[in-house]
This record gives sequence, C-alpha cells and structure tokens, in this order.
Amino acid sequence: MALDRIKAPLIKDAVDFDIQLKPYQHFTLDNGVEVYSYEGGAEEVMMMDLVFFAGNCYEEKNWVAAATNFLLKNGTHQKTAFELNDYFEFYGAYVNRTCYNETATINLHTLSKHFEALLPVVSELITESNFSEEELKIYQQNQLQRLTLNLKKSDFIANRLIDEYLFGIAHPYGTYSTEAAFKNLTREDLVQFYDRFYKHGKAVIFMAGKFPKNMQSLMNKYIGALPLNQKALPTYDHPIISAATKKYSIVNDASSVQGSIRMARRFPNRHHPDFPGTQVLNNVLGGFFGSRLMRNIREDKGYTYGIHSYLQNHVQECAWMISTDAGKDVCGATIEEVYKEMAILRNEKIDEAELKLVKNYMLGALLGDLDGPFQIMNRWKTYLLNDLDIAYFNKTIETVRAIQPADLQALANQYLQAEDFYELVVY
Amino acid sequence: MSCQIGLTEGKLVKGVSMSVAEQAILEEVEKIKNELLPQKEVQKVINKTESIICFEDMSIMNRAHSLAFYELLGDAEMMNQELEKYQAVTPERIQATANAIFQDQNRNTLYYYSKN
Repeated sequence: MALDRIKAPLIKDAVDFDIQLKPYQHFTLDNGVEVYSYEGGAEEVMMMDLVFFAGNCYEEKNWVAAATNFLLKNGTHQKTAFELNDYFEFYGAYVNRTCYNETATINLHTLSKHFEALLPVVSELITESNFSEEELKIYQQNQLQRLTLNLKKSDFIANRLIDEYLFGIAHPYGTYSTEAAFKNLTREDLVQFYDRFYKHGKAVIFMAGKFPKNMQSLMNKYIGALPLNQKALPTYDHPIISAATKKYSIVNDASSVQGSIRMARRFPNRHHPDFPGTQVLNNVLGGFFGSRLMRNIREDKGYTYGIHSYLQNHVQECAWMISTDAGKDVCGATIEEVYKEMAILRNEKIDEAELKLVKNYMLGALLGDLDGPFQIMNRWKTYLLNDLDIAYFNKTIETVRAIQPADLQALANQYLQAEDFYELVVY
Repeated sequence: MSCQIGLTEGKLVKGVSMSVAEQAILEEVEKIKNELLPQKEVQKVINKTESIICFEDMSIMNRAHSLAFYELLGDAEMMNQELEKYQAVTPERIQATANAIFQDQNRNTLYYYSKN
C-alpha cells in the first residue's frame, strides 16, 4: 500500500481499538507437565519458560530457594559452570533463571534452529546440577559483598523494610537476605531443595515464538521423561503479620543528602473486583509521567526527580505502594503533598479530560505491551499462574473504558485513607 | 564512505606503568594479526550476532528503527543483507582485515594520568 505522505496519518485513540488477547495452545507431556504455547512472530526465534513451584515460600531456611535457583547454571555432574555458559553462548542463546515467591524459573531464549541442541543441556540443569562447594563459596562471597554495598543505599533499605512492615519478616513477601543467611547456606540445603523442588518438583511450561516441527516430541523426550509432577507439593501456611506501628524514620547514613520515602497499604490480589478500577485510580495518582504526584511533587515543587505509585503483583495479597527519593530537607513536605493528593482524589471528582488521557495511556500501554509472541505468552503466564483467565483480561479493558469519575472517587474513599498507609523514610 | 573508530581502553591498577600496559595490548593485537582465529570462536561470534539481529527484529519498534537506520545509510534494503554479511566472515578475512587496519600509523594513544 503506497502511503500518501501529503496527508497526515489518521489519529485513532487507544480506547477505540478492539483489543484482544490471542488464545494459547496447550498440550501435556508424558509425565503430566502442562505446556502452554503461543506460536507466531516473523522471526525464527523462540523462548521457553520452565516454571517450577520452587519459590521462597517453600524454603525452610532463609535464601535457600534463591541460592538454589541461582546456582542451577553453575555446574552439573558433566559440565563446569564455564562449559555450560560457553555452550549456551556458542549458539547465541540466553539462559536465565529467576526466583520469585511462589515460583522459580529457568528461561531459554534461542534461535529456533538451535532448540534441539540446547534442550538436552537445559534438561541437564534440572537433573544433574551439582552445587559444588566451590561455586557455593563464590556465590556467598559475591552476595555478601553486594549486600554490604547495598546496605549503604537508602533505597535498598527502604524497599526491604516496607515489605517487612506490610507482610512480616517471616512471610515470603516480607523476608530479605542477611549476612547470616548467606553465611549459613550449606551445600546440603541446596541439594535437598533441588531434589525436592526441581528434580522431583512440580513444573509448568510456557513457550512462544516459532517452534521447530518436532518441538512436541523433543519436549517429551527431554522434559516429559523426567520425574516431575509425581509428588504433591508440600502445603504451607504463611500468615501475613503486618507491623503495628505505621510510621518510621530511619537514619542509615547521617551524611546522606537524600531520603528514600515509601508509603504503602495492604491491598487485595487480582481476584478482588476492585483491582482493575483501582489500577485506573493508581494511574491517576502516580502510575505514569503525567500523574498527579509527578506533576505536583516533581514538576511543581521540585522535591524529587520522580515519584511513582503502583500495585504490587503478588499472588496471595498485594500492596499499594508510593515510592520516591527526595531531598533530605523536603521529605516531610513530600509526604504531606502525597496525603494532599489522596485527599483531593477522595473529595473531588476527576475531570473528564484527565480521565480520558489516563484511559488512553493505559490502553495504549497495553497495546504496546502485547507486541509479539513473547509478550502475549508472558501475559498468559501471569494469568495462568494467578488462576485467572481471558475474562480477567476483558474485564480489565472494559473497566478502563467504562469507569466514571464517581467510581474513582468511591475507590479513593475506600482505599486512599491516610491512616491505612505505612510511612517510611530512610536517610 | 563511513568511518568508524576502534577504541581500546583500560584503567590501570596503581603501580603499573602506562608503557607496560600499552605493550600488553599491542601484543594481543599482534596475535590477531599473526595467528588465525579458531573457526569455532568465529562461528560463536557469528551465531551471537545472528541471534541479536533476530531478537532485535521481533518488535515493531526495533524493525522501524533498523529500517530508518539503513535508509539513512543509503538503502533500507540493506536491513535484509546484514545477516549474510556477518555469516560470510571467515578467520582468514578477520586476519587480513586486522593486518590492514591495525597499523602503527593508524594508531593514536592517549595517556591520561590522575593528579597524584
């Protein structure tokens, strides 16, 4: 189609697009592991996400889950850490691992034509990792050094403490690393955790991109024959114990010129009917660059370079968080302004033009985010791991399109009450 | 004709003299000029490059960016030839190119000292 460059392209608002999430395909491996896949895209590339139920909510000793996940790639009975990395690198592939609260993943990004060469070695990571004493020692040293450095930063401390106040230090969402945790890790801890939660663990797999023709049989050969999904997961009960005190001010470095401010309240998870509407309200408050907090506290007052608010994305329960670093002498004023903005949202209806902007921003961001097969599968992954389906996607979009100023005001009155918020400044 | 600069830089540990560090770099350069790289090492770099190009081209944003970049260089169609050019690289060509460009008269060296 030839473009008529004399005419400016038609501008269409994001809210007017018909936004749909394309469906996934699904098959089950011989051992019962479910594979969700989305085939598509123009390039000959693919990704595979092996999700194990091996997050820190299953650990009995602090940091075992994260350390096990990290060291999966640092040596098997057949290959050293260097050989493993060199092998993946030769094919231009990327293997990453990440540990979350409920789950921990091994992620492969590769050119589709190399999948067959890489899959056996990925499989090796979940059957034959050896967690050598030497690699553990290096890990401990590095982590200790990093921790010592991070503990000098006010934002690092603030992030840890606010989660502790919200969920309790014993809860997987509220816990954090300590010098003792790193020092107390033993090879035996990791080997045991690995055996229970990876080798004989429960897994679910997400794949996207262009697949080789024999993808399913390869998956069955290298993953479907492993002893996964044979044993039920242990149950756990982590009650949330929020701190009784709501306001904190901590001096970490008396000479610092900035303070890290966190203000947060507990908030239900995505299954709560108010979640989508509150996301709209959050965007008005501090969810994007044109938000009220940003306009007031950055643009107008100049107290900070940036201020953001967001809903955490936990499975069990979330939190609504406002986060910024501000000049030492204006931290108090910043907090005051945040409460003022909350009060305005409670007391006044947002005007139509601002709401329309936010709606367009949110749906535009969603459209941008669904660019390509990996992103589509990632969204499905979030939904499936949170027990949500397409109805949630559609409801979110519907809510963004339909929500009215009065609805937002009602939500603000319910959830933006100053006394519900924890307040922390770390200098 | 476009012109690019290759830069090698290093920050020295206290006590190491500039000339010793420079000599060490030049020795590595001489190796590339005199010894053929192993085919496997070259293949690895080609594989990595192919992977980077393919992953970059996944998003519409990057595709538009690449098209604009090549159009600025003279022809958007070059976007489709980029990969072939990398795939045609051989150890011999790397050695020949190294000998052509790593010549003393092409080299500028700057020593930048701290006050003490």
